[in-house]
Parts: sequence; structure tokens; C-alpha cells
Amino acid sequence: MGIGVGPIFVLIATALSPTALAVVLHLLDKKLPTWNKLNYWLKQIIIGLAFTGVTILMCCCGVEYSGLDSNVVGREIVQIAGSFGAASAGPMIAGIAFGWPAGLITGALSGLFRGLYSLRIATDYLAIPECITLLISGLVAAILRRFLFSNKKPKWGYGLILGIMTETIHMIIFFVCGVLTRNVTFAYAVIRVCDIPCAIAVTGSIVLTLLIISIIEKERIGYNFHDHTITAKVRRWMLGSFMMAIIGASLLTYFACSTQASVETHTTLVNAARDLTYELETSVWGSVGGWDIAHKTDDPDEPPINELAPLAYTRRILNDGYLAIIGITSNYTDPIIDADNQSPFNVITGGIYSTCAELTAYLPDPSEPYIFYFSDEKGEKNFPINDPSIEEKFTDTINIPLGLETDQYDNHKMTPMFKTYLRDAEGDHQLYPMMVLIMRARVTGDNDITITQEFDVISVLPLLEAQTSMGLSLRIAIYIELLIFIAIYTVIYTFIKNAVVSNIHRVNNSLQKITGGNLGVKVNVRSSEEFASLSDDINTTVDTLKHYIDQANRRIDDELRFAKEIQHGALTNVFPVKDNYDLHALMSTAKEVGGDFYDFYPLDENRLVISICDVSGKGIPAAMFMMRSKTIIKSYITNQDYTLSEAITRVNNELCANNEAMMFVTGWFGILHLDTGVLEFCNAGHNPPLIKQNGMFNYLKMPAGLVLAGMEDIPYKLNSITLKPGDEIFLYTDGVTEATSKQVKLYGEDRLVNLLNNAQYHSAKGLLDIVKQDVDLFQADVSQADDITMLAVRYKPSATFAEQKVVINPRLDEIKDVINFVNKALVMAHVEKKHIAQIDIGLDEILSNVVLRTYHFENGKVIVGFEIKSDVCTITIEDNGKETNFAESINQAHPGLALTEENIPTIGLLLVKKTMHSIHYQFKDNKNVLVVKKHIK
Amino acid sequence: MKVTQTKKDNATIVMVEGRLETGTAPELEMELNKIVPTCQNLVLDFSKLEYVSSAGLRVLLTAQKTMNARGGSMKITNINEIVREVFNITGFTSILTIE
Repeated sequence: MGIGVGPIFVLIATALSPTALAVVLHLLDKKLPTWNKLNYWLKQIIIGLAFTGVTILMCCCGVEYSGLDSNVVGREIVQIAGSFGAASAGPMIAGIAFGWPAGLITGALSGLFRGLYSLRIATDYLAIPECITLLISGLVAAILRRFLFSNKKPKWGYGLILGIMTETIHMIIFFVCGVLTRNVTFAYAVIRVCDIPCAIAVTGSIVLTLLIISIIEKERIGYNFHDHTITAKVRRWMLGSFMMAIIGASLLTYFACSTQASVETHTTLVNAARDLTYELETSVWGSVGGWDIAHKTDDPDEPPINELAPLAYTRRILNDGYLAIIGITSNYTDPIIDADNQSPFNVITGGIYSTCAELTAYLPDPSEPYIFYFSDEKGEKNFPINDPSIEEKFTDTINIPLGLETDQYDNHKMTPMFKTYLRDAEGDHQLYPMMVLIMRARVTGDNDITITQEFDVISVLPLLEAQTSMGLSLRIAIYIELLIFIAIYTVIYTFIKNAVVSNIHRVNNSLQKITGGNLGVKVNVRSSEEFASLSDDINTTVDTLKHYIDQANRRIDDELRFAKEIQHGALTNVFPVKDNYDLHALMSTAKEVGGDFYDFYPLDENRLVISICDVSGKGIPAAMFMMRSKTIIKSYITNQDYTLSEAITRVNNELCANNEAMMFVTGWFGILHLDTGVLEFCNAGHNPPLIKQNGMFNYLKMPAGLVLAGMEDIPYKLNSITLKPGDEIFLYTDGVTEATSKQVKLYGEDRLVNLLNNAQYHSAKGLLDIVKQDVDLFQADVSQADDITMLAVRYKPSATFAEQKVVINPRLDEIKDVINFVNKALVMAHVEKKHIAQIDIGLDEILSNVVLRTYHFENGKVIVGFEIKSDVCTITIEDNGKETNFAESINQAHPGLALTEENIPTIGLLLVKKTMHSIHYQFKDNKNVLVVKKHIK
Repeated sequence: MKVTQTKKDNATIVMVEGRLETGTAPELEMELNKIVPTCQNLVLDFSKLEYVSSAGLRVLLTAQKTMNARGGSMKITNINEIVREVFNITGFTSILTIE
């Protein structure tokens, strides 16, 4: 190519200047807060202006070598075009690396400048294409930045494509301008020399800029081959396939064009040589044309110039840029004059003159006189023999012949050296002989021109010219392919990114929400039919899934409800009214099935077992473990062979066995001796119960044993306390003390004990209701988290009872129901046995009288009211029978009656009179009301 | 109430447990009606009797009368304080043989 070190240096220096500016601006952005705080648009304008400045400087570097006329082809061109070419990196870097406005500003301003600058130099052929290139590169940079790169700086790899694209556009514009100005040869000459250096300069400049900024920003530099995203794959495949396509197409074009060029050149050269040969032959033998060299030489009066006139005909051929070398006598000195009396050729006498030293060496016989006729490529210029620049001109203009037409040239006449040279010039392409036809014309004679039949005609075509059409086609083809590739790449990439990948992301986002548990999310991507269908399918799937989940949930809910019912069914919820204790229990389950349970049952007449347990965990496993525990516990405690602590130890061992689920139970177990008030108990890791003694509830805090089913062979200690009549036991599970309020506070033991000590209640049930109410109040607005289970026992309740009533039919066999009812209440009130018996007798007498004497057997009811208040038992007997004053009858009963069957009823009334303390009668609301009172202490 | 009957040395011992009142007296009466016509020595063991009301007294009166008419003897044994008080108040101690 012949580019020197100087131009390369200038090219590199100019190409690096936008990079340097970009780095400085980037650092400014990073390190200087005042700069960083500037308005975006202001910054863009400043950046745009800065890049415009650098671009103009680069242009000037190129213009420095400008001012030459259009014939300048050579190393200057490299600098001119190279610097201008590199200049187009300015707008590109400003737009891509900093922002689309900066790109537009740089492109517009520097383009404008370049256009105006050209006015200064009339021959600045590069001005228009340069101007357009700057404008377009700014515009393209802005568009790409804004739309393809989402207004972000692209990775440095894109610099390659951007650089090649910029330079391709540059070259195409150059070519188009060449076509428009009918100066294709010049345009091609420029393109041929400077396309590669320019592309390298621009691409290098852009890539380097992006790379340095990436390094400053500590971004990932290497290409990620493990990136399996669709865009990465598309990028890889497109890049690969387009590269192959471009290379393939280029090679094909190259071979096609070069073959065609060879054929054409060959034909041209052969024709030219043949024409010349024909001319020479016809001149020599006078068969064709009006000139016979031999004949003319015979006539010494004929001036040689005229004799040689037909040779002017060869000029036509020579005008096409071919060189004819004709052997001629050495002493022929006169110039050849054509019809216009102009010498079209230089006539060299006195030896062989060759523009090419090598060729000279291989000419058949250097000692023979030759004349060289030659012309420049246009055939319009003569080079005087003594022009020292001639050699240089020729060297540049006329290239070494590329081949040899072997079938037209006698092999034996060609020296081996010449063959070697031809081979070397084209490497192995010895058989690329089309470009040059060498024929020899040997003309001998002394003063006259004597042309023998032996002559060589060498037809030479400058390589540049021979290759122009081929090179131009090849380059244009490659440029267009590159541009098409970049355009298709951009379109496909953008399309896939927007129409496929971004939609996939949208679908994925929705799916993420769905898998995150929100089944209510709908996928709604409707930009294309495929995605709409996919969205619908996903929505349908999720809906179906939701349906099945709901179904499954309902089934589980049902099963849990059944489990709960079975669990509840296992707990005794009938609380017997007993003489010596009042017991009530309550379990309020949370939404989920839990493992709480209570139990109570008499061991015998005098011993009552009470227990409360809490199985770890929740749900069906806890419920099943609870059922198992309950059965095992009861079976061991009711076994009379074991004490309570032994029973619990065995329960623990049995629960430990086969406890793969690693569940455990806390429990509190007590046996209340109803006669003595002794309470034996074992605590297996359960909350301490509250015991009311001397009117105060206190926690029964004694060291508890380990939970059940925790570890085998753990001994459980048996404790005992003694209760007095009226004392109470309150058992509960942690559902009570650990009930949580809306403010996430725990109910706590203190609140429980305070509540119990301040509560007003008359029965065990009343006590539990108060606690339940308070816990519910505490955890208002919060769903109950755990089962709430409680059991309360009052030992020998005190004798204060609310009024109780029993209603019977007026039948003799129902009297015992009243007596049983009253009897029970009296026993519970610890009334002395004697008094109980007396009250029983009194009731029996009165009621039998009521039934037998005063009552119609139909439609009647007898209501017996019963109340004990401060040592007085009051019995009220009402009936809706005939008005009968019992009080009078009773008062009239006297001892000493004859003991006969008839008197028995009166005797009965006498018993009433003697055992009761007061008897009052009144007839009220059509009812007989008898009030009988008895002191019971 | 529970009535059990045993024989010992020519005597028929009737054990009465529980309460002797309106509801239960007919039961004792039925038992005695079976025993009295053939029995010479009737012993009523009241050790487990809680109390007796007028309905019970009527049964005892009838039994005593029948025994008297047949020339047999009827004895009431092991009465508790309450039963004794009833007998005292009603004057039954005078017609019954209480040991």
C-alpha cells in the first residue's frame, strides 16, 4: 500500500483524540460533583460542543493534506480520508457514549463546519461526502442510543459493529458522490487505499472509548459465553451466520469479478496486441493499409516521419492505456509526428529504455536497438526522455504485468528469468496470463527502419485500471452486505427483544407472583396472538388449579371438622351434680384441630380423677396423639394396682414407644379424695394449676416432671395437698395464659390469678364462663391461636345455693324424684344426716297428702321449690288442685290418735308438725302454696 | 329400698335397706303379705333403714295386726335414732315390739 510511518501516526493521533475527550468527560462526570449536578440538557450541549471541537480538529488534520487536485492518489489520500474517516468517530462516540442529543449536536455542527470549510479549497472533492457522513453518523448514533440501547451506553463489543457501520456508510457516500460527479476512478482510488485504515481508525476509536469507560466503571469486560438468554443466542447465531454469509458472498463476488476481469482484460490485451501486430504486418508487407515500411525505407527521400505515419494508428490503441514496445533501429532519432503534426510518443533512441528495471533485464537482447513508445494511462501526456520524474510516474501508474499469454508467445523466446519474475509477481499464479500479452517485434536495420517478422508486441494494462471494475464491484457488494447485515441484525434483535423477550419477561413476572402464592394474578400479554394464547392458557391453568386447590381445601376442612367433632365427642361434656363436688370443664378450640383435652371420672365413690393435657403441635397428628394419650392415661390411672405416679410413669413409657412423630404431651393429673379433701397429683410438664384455699387462688407451683412421651423411664413425683370444703381447683392449658391480644401481648398468669380472685360466681361453670369471657375480650379482633381448655372443681361447695325448683306430675311414684333432688342438694350443703332424713320424711308426708287428698289426677303439676339460706331450709310446695289448707290440717294433728289405717295420713301430718319448724299456707293465684321451713344447724 | 329375707331358728328375718316412704312402702307390703300368713316368728331388721314415713308405718301396722290375729310374734330390731323418733312421736312404740 505504501503508507509511511508519518501518516499512520497522524491517523492514530486523530483517531485517539475523541477517545481521550470521552475519557476526560466521563471522569468529570464521576469525580466532579458540580459538573455532575448540571442539568441534563446543558451537559448534553456542552458535551456536543466539545466533541464538535475535537471532530473539527480531526478534519483539519485531514485538510492539511488537502488542496491537491483530484489526481492525487497515494499516501496523502490515506491521511486526508483517514483523518476525515476517523473524524466520523466524533459524533458516533458523543451519541453512543454520552447521549443522543450530544450525538445530534456533534454531527450537525461538525458536518456544517466541514461543508463550509470546503468553500475555502475549490478542489476539496472529499468535502461533500465527509459532510454527509458526519451528519449521518451523528443521526445514526442518536437513533441507536435512543431506541436500540434504551438510552444506555452499549457494551464495547458493539463498538466493532458501530465502527464498521460508520465507515461503510462513509465509503458508500463517497462512492455515490463519485458517481454523481462522474469521478468514479478517483473515488475508487481513494476508497481502495483508505477504506481499511479508516475502518480500523474509527472502530478502534469507538471500541477503545467504550472499553476504557467500562474499565473505569468496573463493568464486566469479557464476553459472557454462558449467557443463555434468547437475545444472547440470537446475537451469537446472527453474528456467526451473517459473518459466514458476508465472507461467502464476498469470496464469490471476488472470484466472479476477478474471473470476469481476467477474461475482459485478456480479450482487450489480445485484441490490442493483435491489432498492433496486424498493423505492423500489414505495414511491413503492405497487404493492408497504405504503409509499407520496407517499401518506404527503400525510398530515402521519404521522410521517416511520414513513412511511419501509419504507426499513429496505433495511438488509438495506446490511448486506451496500452504500451507498445516495438523494436526499432537505434539511430532513428526523429520524433513521430501524427496528422496534427504532434508527436504522440516519446521516441527513445540509443538503446533500450524501460520504466521497469526488471523488465529491462529480461528483454531478449538489451544490446539491440529498441524504441519505447509509451504513454500515460490517458495517452495524452508525453514524458520527455530527460524528465527525471518519469521513472517515478511510471512506477506509480503502470504496474508490473501480471501474466503472460503463453499460447501467443513462444516459450523458447522467453528467458527463464522472465518466467520467474512473472511467477513471483503473482505468487503461484503463473497461469494468470490474461493481463498482459507480450509479443515481440524485432525491427532491424541501420539507418532505415527494417522490421523483421520477428517482433514482440507487449501489451500492458495498468493493474489499477484492470482491477477497477472488479475492485469496485467487490467493495460495493461488501459495503452493501455489511449495511444490510447491520440493518437486519438491528431489526431482528430489536424485534426479538421487544416482541418476544420483553413479553416473556412480562409473563414471567406474572408467573412469579402466581408461584409466590397470589393465584389471583392474571397474565395479560396481548401484543401478539401467540402471547395472548399463552396468557389465556396460563390463566386457565391457574384457574383450574385454584379450583382443585379449593376443592382439596374444602375436603381438608371437612376432615378437620370431623376430627374436631370426634375429638370433642371423646370429652365428657355431661357434668354430674354430686353431693361433694361441683365440677365443670370447657374446651374452646381454635380454627385448627388441636391436642388439648380434659378428663374426669370417679375411681370409686370417694375418689375423683381430674386431668388436663396438651399435646404438642396441631392438626390431625396432634388430635390422633391426643386420642391415644387419653385412652392410655385413663387405662393406667383406673388400674387400681398403680399409684398415680406409677401410672403416669407407665403412661410415659408407653407413649415413648413408637413415638416416631416425636410428639409429646404435657399433663396435670389429680385424684381428689372426696371424703378427706386430700388431693394427690402429678405434673408432667404442665402449667401449674390454681388452687383456692382460704378464699384465695394461688398457683400450685411445685417442680414439675418431664413432659410425657419425651424420654423413657422418667419417674414422676407424687405430691399432695389437703383441701377444705369450699376450696377449689382450676386447671387450664397454655391457650389461656398465652392468648395473644391485638397488641401482641400475652394474657399471662398474673391477669388470670387476679381475675379469679376478684370474680363473683356461684358454680364451677360460672367460674369458667368468667375466665372464657375475659380471655375472649383480651384477644378481641384476633383469631384464637390455640385451644382454650379449662376445668374447675369446687370441693364440697358451701351451702349457699340459688333457688332450685323441681316440677312433677301428681303421682305417688314421682314423689321420690323430689326427695332425691332435695336430698342431693342437702348432702352437698353438708346438712346433718338427721335433718336430711327429717326433711325427707316431711316432704314425703306432704306430697303424699297433696297427691292423695287434694289433687285431681289430671291436668295437674306440683312445683317444689327448695332453698337453703343461712341455716334455714325453705321448701315451697305449690299445686293447682282444690283449695286445701294444709297448715290447718297439720296444726290439728295431735298425738294420741288411735293407731288405725284410717288415721295414718293424720299421723303423717303429725310427723311434719313435729319435725318442721314452721308451716305457712296460702291460696294464691288459684294455687295452694305451702311454705315449710326447717333449721338445719 | 331393698328387702331381703333370711330364715334363722324358726324366725324369718326381713332386712329392709334404704328409705321406707310413700314410694317404697307398697313393695315392703307385698313382701310381707307373702311372708306373714305362714310365718310364726317375724323379725324386721331395720339396721340399714334410713327413715320411715307414715306410709311405712301403715305397712307395719297392718303386719302387726295380722301377726297378732294369727298369734305369731313380730319384732323390730336395730332401729336408728330417726326411726325411733318417728315411732315415739306417732306412738307406735306402744304397739310394736322393738328390741
